Amino acid sequence: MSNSKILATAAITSVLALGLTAASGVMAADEKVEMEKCAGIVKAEMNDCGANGHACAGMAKTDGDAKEWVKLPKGTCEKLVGGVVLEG
Amino acid sequence: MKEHSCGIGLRFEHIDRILKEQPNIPWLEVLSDNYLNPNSVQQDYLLSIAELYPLSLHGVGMSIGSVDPFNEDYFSLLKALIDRVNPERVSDHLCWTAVHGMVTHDLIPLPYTDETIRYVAGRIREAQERLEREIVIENVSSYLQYKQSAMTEWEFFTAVVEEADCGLLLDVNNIYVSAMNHNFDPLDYLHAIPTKRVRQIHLAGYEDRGTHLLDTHGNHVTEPVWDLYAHAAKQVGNIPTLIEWDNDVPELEILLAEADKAGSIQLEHTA
Amino acid sequence: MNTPPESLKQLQTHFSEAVFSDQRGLIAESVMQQGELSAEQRVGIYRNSVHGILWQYLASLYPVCNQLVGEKFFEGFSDLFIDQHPPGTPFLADYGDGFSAFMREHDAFAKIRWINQVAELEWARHQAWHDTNQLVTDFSLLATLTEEQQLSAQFQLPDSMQILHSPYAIHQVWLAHQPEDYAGKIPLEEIQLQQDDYIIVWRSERQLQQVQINEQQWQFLSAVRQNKSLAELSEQFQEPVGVLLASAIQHGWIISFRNY
Repeated sequence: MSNSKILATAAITSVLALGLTAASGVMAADEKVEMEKCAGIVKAEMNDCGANGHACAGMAKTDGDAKEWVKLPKGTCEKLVGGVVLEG
Repeated sequence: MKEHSCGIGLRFEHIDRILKEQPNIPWLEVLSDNYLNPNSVQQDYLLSIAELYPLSLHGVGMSIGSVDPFNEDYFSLLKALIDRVNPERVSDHLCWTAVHGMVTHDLIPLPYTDETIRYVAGRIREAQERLEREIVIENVSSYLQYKQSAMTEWEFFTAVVEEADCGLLLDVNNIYVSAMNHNFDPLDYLHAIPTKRVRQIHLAGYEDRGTHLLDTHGNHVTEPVWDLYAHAAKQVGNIPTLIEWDNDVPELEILLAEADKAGSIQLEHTA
Repeated sequence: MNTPPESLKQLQTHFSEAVFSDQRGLIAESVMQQGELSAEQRVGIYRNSVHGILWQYLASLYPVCNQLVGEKFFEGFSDLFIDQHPPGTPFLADYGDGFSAFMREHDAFAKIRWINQVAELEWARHQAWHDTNQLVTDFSLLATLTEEQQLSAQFQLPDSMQILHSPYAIHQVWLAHQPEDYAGKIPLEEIQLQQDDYIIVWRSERQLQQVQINEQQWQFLSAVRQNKSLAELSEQFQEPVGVLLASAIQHGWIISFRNY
């Protein structure tokens, strides 16, 4: 446990070395942008993730042909090597 | 020039631009159901919008005409949102959307009978008590008629809002769509409306499916609906009007131009 | 007490059977035949509208899956899902949970089981977007803790934090379907599908973030989520604990701490 104690104290020291305060936020703004560019994926949020939500309009959709679609997915998965796992 | 009172529905793809550019729009309507979650990023956006524009909260989730009990969570979240953004109007539809706990997220018509009037008017009164304010009820488009209906839609609509003592949201496009689908004169509908209860007007674009018109809110307002709107403006006066556009949402400019067009018709016919 | 009329109850029951089970017969008996459309066709307009609304919604939740399986297949599969799992709340954002589990059970996915993992990533993004905001703690306050308090300190991830692990390269697959250019994005044809992926998704203010992390970071964040104390984390991760903790805080993956 004493080894853990040393490690824990060192961990706290490295966090404090970041010099973060509530006022400064997690990071300075330009540092944040830099970070997002290399590590984070940011997308146009409001159009994503079903965020658009409700509307009060009807939808025109034709009666689906129940049999037509079930056989095999036909999309970009076919482009992937090993995307469709062959039997055997 | 006199200012008109024609606004647009707030759509997500326009929020960032509206917050940044703050265009001159008399008011905005939002689909309340999308902003109910407290401390969510969506409500956070709405609070920013509410600081800039008068709002109307328009919902689809009350399910006024359903035989199911009201959803308690829905009402408490809606009440909390009302308290936070202080909207000018709170509206929902004269229809049902859910039954036996299954929610269609669509607007399904009611049969036009005396017992439905009594039940639905009671539900609206209860909703008004829960929200401690007037609610505004909108006529929906319909694609079928029930055999048990014993009166016209406008007799039903009028009787419900009178008995419930609530406001009325006149959707001019929905009147036109239903008139074409069920073969009645939209002016008969319009003339029967209790004018003093009209709090707001909706306009939108439908889609002609050949066998019927479908209320898709995915296009410009059509010519016959503009004509009907001119009649409505003459009848009800300078009532806040809104352009609804939910599918294939266009650039903000197109939406604002549509609102300005409504505005000039409104000014011309209420002068 | 405002009791609903019996006939209305029956009408709505029959209507829901048409919408969610495609049993149009009973409600059609209550509907007038007008013009070119039969009563059943008129009811069908509503079934299609409801399914259209929900299918579009699912397609917006699962845009990459939609492309992977093709729009036609996705539409048909959504119809099936909607009938078997109708929405149960007026809150649309609740809808679509269980879509990946439904994929896992369906025969059409027998040879492409990995696609449901992409669905899990897309659901995680949706969850992260809709979760609530929190404030970030002032971490300089750690300096005020006694040594004992430091050892027992626990750390918190944002409520929106989703921690995923997949035996497939789902992050790369997701990236390859984005129209935008991203660092590390490679064409679909070049992806080695069978490799472990560790991903986190969270929201920082109004921005959704999705990052690929390494196995050790993944284990560290999972341990933090289990409320392990700094002493336990140190025991488990040894030397690297300092770097793991500091970098997690720096990236906004850990936003506060508590001590007892």
